[in-house]
Amino acid sequence: MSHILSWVVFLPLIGIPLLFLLPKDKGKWIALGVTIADFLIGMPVIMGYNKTMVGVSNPSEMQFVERFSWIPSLGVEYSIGVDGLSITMILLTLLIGILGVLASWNVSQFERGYFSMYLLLQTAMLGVFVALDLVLFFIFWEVMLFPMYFLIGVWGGPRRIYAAIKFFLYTLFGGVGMLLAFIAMWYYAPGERTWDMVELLQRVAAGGQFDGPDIFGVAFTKMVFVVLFIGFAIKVPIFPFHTWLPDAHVEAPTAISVILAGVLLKMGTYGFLRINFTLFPEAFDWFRDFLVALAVINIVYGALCALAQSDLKKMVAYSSISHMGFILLGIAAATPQGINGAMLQMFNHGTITAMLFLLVGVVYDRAHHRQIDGFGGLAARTPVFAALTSAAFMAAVGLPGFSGFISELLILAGSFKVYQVPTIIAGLGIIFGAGYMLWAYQRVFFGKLNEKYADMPDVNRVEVISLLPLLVIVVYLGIFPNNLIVFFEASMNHISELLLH
Amino acid sequence: MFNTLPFLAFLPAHILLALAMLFFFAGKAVPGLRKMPVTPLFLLVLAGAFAFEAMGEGSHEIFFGMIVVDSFSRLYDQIYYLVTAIVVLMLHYSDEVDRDNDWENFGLLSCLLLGMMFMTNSSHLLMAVIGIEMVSLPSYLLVAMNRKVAAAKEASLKYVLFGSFATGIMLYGMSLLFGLTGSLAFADIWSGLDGSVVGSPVYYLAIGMTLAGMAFKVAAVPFHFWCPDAYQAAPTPVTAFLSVAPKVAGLALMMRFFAEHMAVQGESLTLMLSIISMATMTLGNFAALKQTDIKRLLAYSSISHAGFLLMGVTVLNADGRQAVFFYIPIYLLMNLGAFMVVILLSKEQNFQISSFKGAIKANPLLVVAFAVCSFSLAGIPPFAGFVGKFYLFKASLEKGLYLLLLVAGINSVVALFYYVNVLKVMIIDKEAQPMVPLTQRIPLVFVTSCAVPLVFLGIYWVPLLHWAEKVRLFQ
Repeated sequence: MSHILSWVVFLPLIGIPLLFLLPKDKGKWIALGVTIADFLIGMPVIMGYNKTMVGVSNPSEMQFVERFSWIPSLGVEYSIGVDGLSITMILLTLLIGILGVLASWNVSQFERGYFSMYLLLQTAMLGVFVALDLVLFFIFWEVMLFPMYFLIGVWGGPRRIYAAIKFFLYTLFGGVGMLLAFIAMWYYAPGERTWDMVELLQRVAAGGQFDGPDIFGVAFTKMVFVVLFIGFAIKVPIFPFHTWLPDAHVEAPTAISVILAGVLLKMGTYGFLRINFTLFPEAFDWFRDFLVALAVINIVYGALCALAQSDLKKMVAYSSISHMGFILLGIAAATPQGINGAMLQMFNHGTITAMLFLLVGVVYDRAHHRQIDGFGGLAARTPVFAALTSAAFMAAVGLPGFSGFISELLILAGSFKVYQVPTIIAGLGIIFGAGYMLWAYQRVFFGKLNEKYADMPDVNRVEVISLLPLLVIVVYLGIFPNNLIVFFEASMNHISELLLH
Repeated sequence: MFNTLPFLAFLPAHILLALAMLFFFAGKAVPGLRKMPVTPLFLLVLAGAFAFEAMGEGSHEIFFGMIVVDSFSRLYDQIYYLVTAIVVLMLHYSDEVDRDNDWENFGLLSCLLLGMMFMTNSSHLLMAVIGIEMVSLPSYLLVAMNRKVAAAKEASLKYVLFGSFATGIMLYGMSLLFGLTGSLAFADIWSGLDGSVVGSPVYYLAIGMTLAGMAFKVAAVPFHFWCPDAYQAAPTPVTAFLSVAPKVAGLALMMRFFAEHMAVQGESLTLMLSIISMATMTLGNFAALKQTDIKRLLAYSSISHAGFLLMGVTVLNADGRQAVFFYIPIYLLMNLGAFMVVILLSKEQNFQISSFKGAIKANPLLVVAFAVCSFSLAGIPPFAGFVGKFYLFKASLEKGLYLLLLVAGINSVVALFYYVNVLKVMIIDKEAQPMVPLTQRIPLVFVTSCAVPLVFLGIYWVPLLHWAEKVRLFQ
């Protein structure tokens, strides 16, 4: 049995000693080399993935499984593997990982420190998406925190320390609850105690029950469900736990915003699907209406906040919250379309939002501010940049022909079957989305040219290289979405069955 | 009747006593003896004692059942030797202490060590009190090791007052217990307290007051007031020692004291201990938030860690004992590592957090080691501190102490804030004035050998688990 999946996960770590051994000014090249190499050795996993195998609750149908005893007395295993849910996220992470290095091309301060944290973050993210053991999952989940703290805190904007610590505390708060929930799930597991989430899910699907005592007067499964939900919701982020996100995004350097929006947020929704909702289907039923309400709040509230922003990056951050709401809506609806749409949206949101943050980074690098009203008429000076931005904004608005349209359509179609009124309200979010995007575009690119930026250079080669792959993917998936959907369709349909049973 | 074998089991204690005598008297009496290299000698004896304890087997009662030597005490004794050895090394590299008094200081340390062994080995409350006092008296003196520093003298006096107060309360509680049960041996106390007494005010009063002396050593609320002052005023190596060793001894004594409780007393004891645990961790953490002096911050952080460790005592079972013991070597590494970095980075005994601004520029390795220790103290994976907390949480969850877990969970988040704040000062802030890079090799090796195991144990902690296995039962 080859250890290819372990290689994919841990390859970035090998880059860290290299950074310190090789000459000082080669940091970005090493990071680029390592992330590209990681992408390349990830290709056999993605190409060799058998799309018909369901995974999720069938341990025998997980692919590229590696399993070793790790802490025998506790039953903790190093157990990794992929199914349709993971493979999509792996692809996204590997891709964003390369583009993030390109977006960090101008980092000059403590270059080696920056890229060592960056590569550690990459390993942690990949690890979360392949871990099948609750303890392993948790360790990867938390390992991500301190590189992220430093990446925002050292290389971020003026209020970076506030933003970094807020991010750290919020996520740790969710994390501690999650840890306690995991221990409780292990201790009161149906049947023999195990940390294996696939095994647990198989037993739950077969009718097993977590038979814990009431906690503070609330039934065990409901309590654990809520604690887990808070842990994952902070990451997504779901209203009212979202306040760290705009701060973190605004202060983070461009590449880290890209990673944050592109991959980190997905870990929350991944957790919903893999652990939180599927393992507690009854609590999910009980909580479902509330989830839909939260999703709609996220969509509409996020969009309204985006509309009110004067800072371009903050606007994108709120639009990101709004779009994450669609994912929750799709999952809460739990119909096959809804849940497939949610998964597609997880991928699409990753690529589209990454593009938006890269573009904001471009303008910030040149003007050193991001006030939407501080520009004007840029289209005349920077036509390529304006064209790329218009494509990205249209994709974010959900224009047909771009990938975002397909996933949001699927989600709305899926949820309309079960929740008509909320779906209609969520549809409003799209209209608001068009509102803030177009309005911001107009203020930045059209109108009278702001003389201050009369000689602003257009996008350079590195920036184009980092943007083009994303644009190609977004357009390609807008036309042939099924080429991605086939990867996760089997798994998602199965999750839908588990949730609706 | 008189069997030498059990006494042989307690051989390390005899050796330490002899060592203390050597340090105190022979050093003064025999001219020329003081030229001997004292640090290696001490380390050698500690290593020998460690090896002896590691090989020991079986459970032996000696001194008419006042002292028990068993697997539990042997493991804790090993911890004490380890801490003392590390602190002796720290003393060697510290610029805060007067070199001339090394012999007296090491004499005090040997006595302290002996006292901690008595605390851990005792199976009788009178023996426990003797142990506590034997730890306390040298501690008072060690805090005032730098005799000319006024703050040290003040702190030492505060410590003395609190110590005598706590011992007084403990003796009062013991007299109540003796009145209730007619004995002060641990096993007899619990078998003497039957259902009719359990839950009555006098029962809570007696147990609570007896706990006072132990709580004083652990620096648990409300007997923690001496702690920040003493920690701030003492030389940093002594602070590091006090923040680990006597706490561990106090916890070991508590666990041995409660080990033989009856089922009928279980619930009331868990209630009492969980209240102490929650109060200790909460107060320690929230007080640490406001500190501007790094030694005081570490002092409060050690109070909150005592609260976390008390979680393991609260559950009153073998899992809890194992969780506590498991956490201790980790706590030792991360706390001593952090203190050592503070010693090495500080200039002219200035321990204001703001004086460490931008320390990473001159001493990147030290600051990275400090970051590892801090994240470990905060319980962030993949550092060992997380694993320690994991087992404590697990033990409490299995026991169903949900309120305790809620409080502990919130506290771990709060704790992160002040640790990260120090890291922010060291790493993110720009340096105020240029700092000198450290040139000595050995301190760097020391710090690295604290930080590296923290990462290793955070990823693979089976070796430590094996070591902690024997502490579950008293055999």
